This record gives sequence, structure tokens and C-alpha cells, in this order.
Amino acid sequence: MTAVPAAAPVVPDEVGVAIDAELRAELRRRRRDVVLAAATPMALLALWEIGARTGAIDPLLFSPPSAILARGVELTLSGELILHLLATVARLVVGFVAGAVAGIAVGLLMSAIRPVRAALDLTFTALYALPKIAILPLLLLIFGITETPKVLAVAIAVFFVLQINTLAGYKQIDPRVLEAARAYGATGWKGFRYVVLPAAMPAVFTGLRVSAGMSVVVVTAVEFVASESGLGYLIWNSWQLFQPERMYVGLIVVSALGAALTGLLLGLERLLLPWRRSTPGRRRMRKGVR
Amino acid sequence: MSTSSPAPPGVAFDVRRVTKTFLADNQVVTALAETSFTVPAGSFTCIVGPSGCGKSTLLRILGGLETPTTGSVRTAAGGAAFVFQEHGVFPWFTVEENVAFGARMEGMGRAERRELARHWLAQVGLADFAQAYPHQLSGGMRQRVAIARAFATGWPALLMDEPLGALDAQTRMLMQELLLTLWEAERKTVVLVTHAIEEALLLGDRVLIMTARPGHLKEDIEVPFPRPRSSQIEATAAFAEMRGRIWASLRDEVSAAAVAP
Repeated sequence: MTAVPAAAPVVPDEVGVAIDAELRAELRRRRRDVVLAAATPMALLALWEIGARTGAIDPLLFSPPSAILARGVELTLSGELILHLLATVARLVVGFVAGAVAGIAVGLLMSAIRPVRAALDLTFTALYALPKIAILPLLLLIFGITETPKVLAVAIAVFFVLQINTLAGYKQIDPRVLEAARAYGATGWKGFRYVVLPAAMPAVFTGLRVSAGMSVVVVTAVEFVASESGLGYLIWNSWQLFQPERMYVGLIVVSALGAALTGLLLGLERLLLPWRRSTPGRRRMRKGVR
Repeated sequence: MSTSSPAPPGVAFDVRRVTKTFLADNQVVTALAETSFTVPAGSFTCIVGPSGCGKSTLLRILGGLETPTTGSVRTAAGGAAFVFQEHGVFPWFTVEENVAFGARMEGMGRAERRELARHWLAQVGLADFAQAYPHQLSGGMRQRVAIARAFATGWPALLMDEPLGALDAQTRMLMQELLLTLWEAERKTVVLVTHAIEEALLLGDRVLIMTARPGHLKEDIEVPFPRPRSSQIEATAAFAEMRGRIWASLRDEVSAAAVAP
């Protein structure tokens, strides 16, 4: 351990050469990893295409990727796909944000105020066990076939994940960290703002990522049965009309949507929790060697 | 904490017949038997004792993090800053924000806090790491942050709970020298809990030896070495003699603690 980073030492030539070779080898290995990661899906798609064209697999059920792509372009140009995508995104975003905000808020209240925790913990834990999609019929009964039950179904699913994760985030805070906070005068609101809140944030983000996947499942399922629009409807309707290519397009777009939402949350996490990022020191060191 | 009246002038901590009992697994555990001593302001006191003897509890009582079950502690005005063994620095704050944390809680402005942090980071040799996060530092560097944070409060007393206990031997020696230099420059009241007899002798004006649980004061030993000190005193015959004397006293307690239920 050194307190002060030493000035870059003059590296003897042969050492520099050896380090350079080592770095180049590592870069080669990384490029190979990227190529391999991309090659697997390409190969699978190629196999699929060949299998469907030669009749090795039933092209009626497993439409060749080229046909799916063509259908995707067609649906995009006609505007149908965009319409369904926007309908799903709207439900997803409104439900997700509402559920997440409420879940985090209740989780934090339960963390900060013991009587609130005592009053709600058991009930919410019991409600969490209920499969969220199972209450859709009840929501439809109450609200009719409008947007409200669809958005609400998403929001409820997200709410419980966030409430539980936020509270768990609070419970797992190292008591020694709380003691250090108290020793330095961070009590009451200050302790909450500067210690409890940041300490619970990683668990909150875990909850956001988990519920992102879950919310896509819920919105799709809701659209299967209770909607005339959205990607879930597109997939379900394609089954009813026996249009497998259209169904595959729906499946691909809905997965991309899930991936985009997860990616967005990961980006947000990196932005808001810079202290969780892996050490930039390592990168600096590597640059120094070059 | 029962601080009905402040400590008399020149006294940082006045501990009177303090005991601590708590409930663990439905059993009453006496962590601390009746203990009395005073800590003069500006002195460096080291507490050594076997594991579980209640020395950390005693330190927490001094700092007001726990209340004594009976007895009283009178404390000089101004507060006491803690240095913990580990996990004391906040991972979500940069090094600079950690160092100025106490000042921030007291409402100091941003620019002033930055200046304060810069000053203390320079003192502990971390000037170049102000913007780093704790997870990017080694264990020894994190403890430097913890020490800088304690000094940066400007509070007259520092309470250190095995601050160097988790460090490797060589880092530890460096850090002892750092503490020695900082303290000899600042002359704050320090109470330091440690396992290491050498550390207590090198740093302290005085070593308090505690018994096995339920812990209480067994011996109160003056450390006669003149200041400024350096780690070279560890090579002297006087140092070896004192270490032997303290170990002789501590040995019975450590073996008693080792066979305790």
C-alpha cells in the first residue's frame, strides 16, 4: 500500500516489451470472446433458416428467420407494429413508474418508522405470495375493460417487489455503519438521508431490475386476454389467426422491450450509484502502461 | 449517557463506578464490572484486555453510543470522534466527503468542507485520492480516511476501537507512526483500544489493563518513554521490560478468557 502514487518509473525496454505482448494477448482474447458471443446466435439462426427451407423442421410452425424479418418490415411500414408497441410501452411505463414509486415510498416508510413496519410487514408478505396476474379478473370486474386494470396489474406486481426489496435493503444495512453514522451526528432525518437511503439503494435497484422483467410478463399476459391492442394482443391474435410470422415478430419485439427496460435501469444505476462502479483506477493503470 | 455535570477542568473523561449489563439470548450478560478511572485532557490512553472483556463497550460508553447500566461518565464539552476497526467509512461517499462528514452533519458549507477535507487528506498522505470511493482503496488507506475523518471533526477527544486491528503487520507499523505524528502535533485526548501490547506502549502515555469478562480495570500503567517517540523505542531494553510486565499481567486474563464458557 502506498499513500501517494509514485511517479511512473522508467520502464526498462525488455519489461515494456513483455508488458506490451501481455496486453496484446489479452486484447486478442477479448476480441475472440466478442466474436464467439456473436457467433452462437448467428449460427443458430442460420441452422433455423436452412432447416426451415429444406423442410427439416416444419416451416409453418418455425417460420424461417428471413420470412419473419420480411413480415417485421411489412408490419412496421404499415404502422401496425408501432401502434401495438406504443400501446404496450404506455401501459408498461405508467404501471412501472407508479408501482415503483409507491413500492419504494412504502418500503422506506416501513424502514424508517417501526410501527408502520409492524403494521404492514406481515400483510404485505402474505399478499406478495398471491400471483399478481390472478387478480386481473377482479380488476376487470371492478374497472371494466379499460386501461385502468391493465396499468394497475403492472403497478401492483412492481409495487410488491419494490416494497420488499427496499425494506430488505434497509434490514441488511451493516449495524456498524449505522453506529458510525450515529457517532458522527447523523441521526434522525440526516441519518436517513445520508446513510440509510444510500445504503438501501443497491437493493432498490435490484428490485427495479427484477420487477422490470416481471412487468413485461404481466403486461403481455394482460394483453393476451383483455386487450385489443399491444404486443401481447398481437402475439395472441396471431395464434388465433394462425400467422406464425406475425407471432414471431411480436415475440422478438416484446423481448427487445424487456431488454431495453433492463438496460435503461442498469444505465440509471450506473449514473446514480457511481460508488458501485468497478474501480477506474485499473483502467488508468492500463493506460499508463501503454 | 448520564452526563449530569461536565467533567472537571483538565479532565476529558471521568468514569465513576460504571457497569454494563445486557440481555443476550434471554441471559443477563455482564459486559463490564464496576470500573472507575479518569482520562486527563490531552493524554493518550490505551486499553488492552482479552477478547470479550468489554473494552469496546467501555469505549462506546465513553462516546455516548451506549449508556452505562449503573454509574456515570462525565465528559468534557466538545464531543468525541470515533475511529472504528472496519466498515466505518461510508462506501457511497468519496474519500473527501467521508473526511468532511462530521462537518457536514454540523452544517458546514461545501467550500469550507472541501478545504477541511483537503487539509486532513494531506496530513494522512491521501491528497491524490480525494475523489476516489472507498472500495477503490486498500484497507490501510481506508483506515487513513477514518483517521482523517475523526481528526477533521475538530472535536477534542478521539475514541479508537482497534483502528489498526485488521491491517497487515507492515501497514500497521506505518499507521502507528502516522498516528504518533498526528497526535504529537495535535495533542487531542485519545482513548485507544487494542490487542497489541507494543502498539499500546509505542503510542500511549498510559496503558489500562482489563480483566477477563466481566471486565474491570486490573492495572493502570504509566508509559515513561519521552516524546517525540518513534518506533525505534521498540528496540530498547526498557521497552522489552515493560512489554514483559504487561504481558505477565495480561496473560492470566487471556487464558481465563480462553477457557471461559
